[in-house]
Amino acid sequence: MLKTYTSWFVPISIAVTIIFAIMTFALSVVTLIIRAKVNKKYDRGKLNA
Amino acid sequence: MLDILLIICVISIWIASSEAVVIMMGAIRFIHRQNKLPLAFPDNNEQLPTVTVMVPAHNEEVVIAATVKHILHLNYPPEKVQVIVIADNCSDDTAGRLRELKANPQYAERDFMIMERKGTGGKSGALNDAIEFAIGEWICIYDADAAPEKNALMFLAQKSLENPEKYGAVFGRNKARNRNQNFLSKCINLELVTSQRIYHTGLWELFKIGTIPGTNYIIKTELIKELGGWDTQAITEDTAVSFEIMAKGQLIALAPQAEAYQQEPENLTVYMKQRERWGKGNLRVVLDNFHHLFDSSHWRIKVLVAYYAASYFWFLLAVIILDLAFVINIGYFIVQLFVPGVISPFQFAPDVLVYLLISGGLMYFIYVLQINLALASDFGQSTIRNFILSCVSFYTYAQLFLVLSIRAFYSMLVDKITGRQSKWYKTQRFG
Repeated sequence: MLKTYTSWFVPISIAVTIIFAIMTFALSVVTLIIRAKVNKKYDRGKLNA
Repeated sequence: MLDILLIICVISIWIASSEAVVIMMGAIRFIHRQNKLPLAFPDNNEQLPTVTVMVPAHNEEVVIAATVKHILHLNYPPEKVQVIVIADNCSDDTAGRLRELKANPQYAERDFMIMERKGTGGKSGALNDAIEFAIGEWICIYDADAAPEKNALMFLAQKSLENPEKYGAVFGRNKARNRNQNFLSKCINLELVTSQRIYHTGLWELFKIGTIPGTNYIIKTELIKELGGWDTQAITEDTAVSFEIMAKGQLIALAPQAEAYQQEPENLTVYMKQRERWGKGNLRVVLDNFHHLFDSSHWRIKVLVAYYAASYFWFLLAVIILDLAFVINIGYFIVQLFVPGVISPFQFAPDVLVYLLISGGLMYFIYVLQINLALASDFGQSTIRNFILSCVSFYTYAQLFLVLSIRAFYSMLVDKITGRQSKWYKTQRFG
């Protein structure tokens, strides 16, 4: 049973891991961009300066 | 057999994480579009609909006057607002505080009615009794602890005007006003921000699906009357009415700028009671609406039922089984120190385990990321303290959901088996 499932589960696990890694990297970058934009838009202190 | 069970659970968690990622992408698109829109009010007040604001209040003397004052000072034409406050089965001075407020000369010209009610049905019953006196085209509901921002009602009404034929209800955002009180309230704030700014937003952007949050929303008077009012048997009347609205082919639209502050529980006992009630109520609503998956209902209601059913049953069960396997494996590890050769039944092959640990780590990161994406979109909330809290909350606050869900499920089963009637529990207020 152990051998049966590893033959297909390992490649799927690798694929899922790669997809999640790419998604989390991309979403992290987008989160930082949104944070910067929101802070710039609503920070009255910086606008007044 | 057990390894097959573990694999199914792992795949389920992958699907749950993928769902979270898709919803996050919807939320990002919404945030991006929303940031481009200028903040604008309607050109003239003529187009604004008349609104009956209803506030159900059971023993709310601590907060009711402040709430109603906020409502009376909303930026909305006063001649278009009728306010009905229902002092529902109150044993305290809720009605007295309201009478004091009403006696204030500045409110003499306002359509402000105090309804002292003795009846059953909890919040739903109170709203159903009040609706008989409602004259507005739309009904607006605020809970007794709500503090709507000045333009909240204006934004709700403005949204309704975008598609008056299709929008049966419009809901806004709710924020925790006591969010910095303690660790629990800070975690509740994170949850609230994430659900409002990621889940509600993502579901609306991707599928035009919305759900009523119980407070800070408007609903067409005609529609709620057609539905027969709010369900007095439902513990979570907001979720129940959301399904009914969608079953009628109407949409529940999101007005993100319509914000109201509400008080969240400040101690664990109050919190657990509230959340167990919500959990039980939502479980019941999901089961009552499960048939929509298989009948000729609109695809939106199928998506909503599938989303709730997956969250409350499928994904939750997978997490519980994996957590149990983890705990049992720790136990076996300790036993192995004394009795070598004892093997845990919950095992993966070593090369599979490595990738599972990596994807487990990534899923944790997705959990933290969705909270921080929500915080990033709410000015002033994306702080280092909140980031640390989001990392810690996975191992602390988030684990409460497992306990609450099991308790809610058990309570619902007992109700069904014994025929016990659920009591509507009022959340304790803090001054």
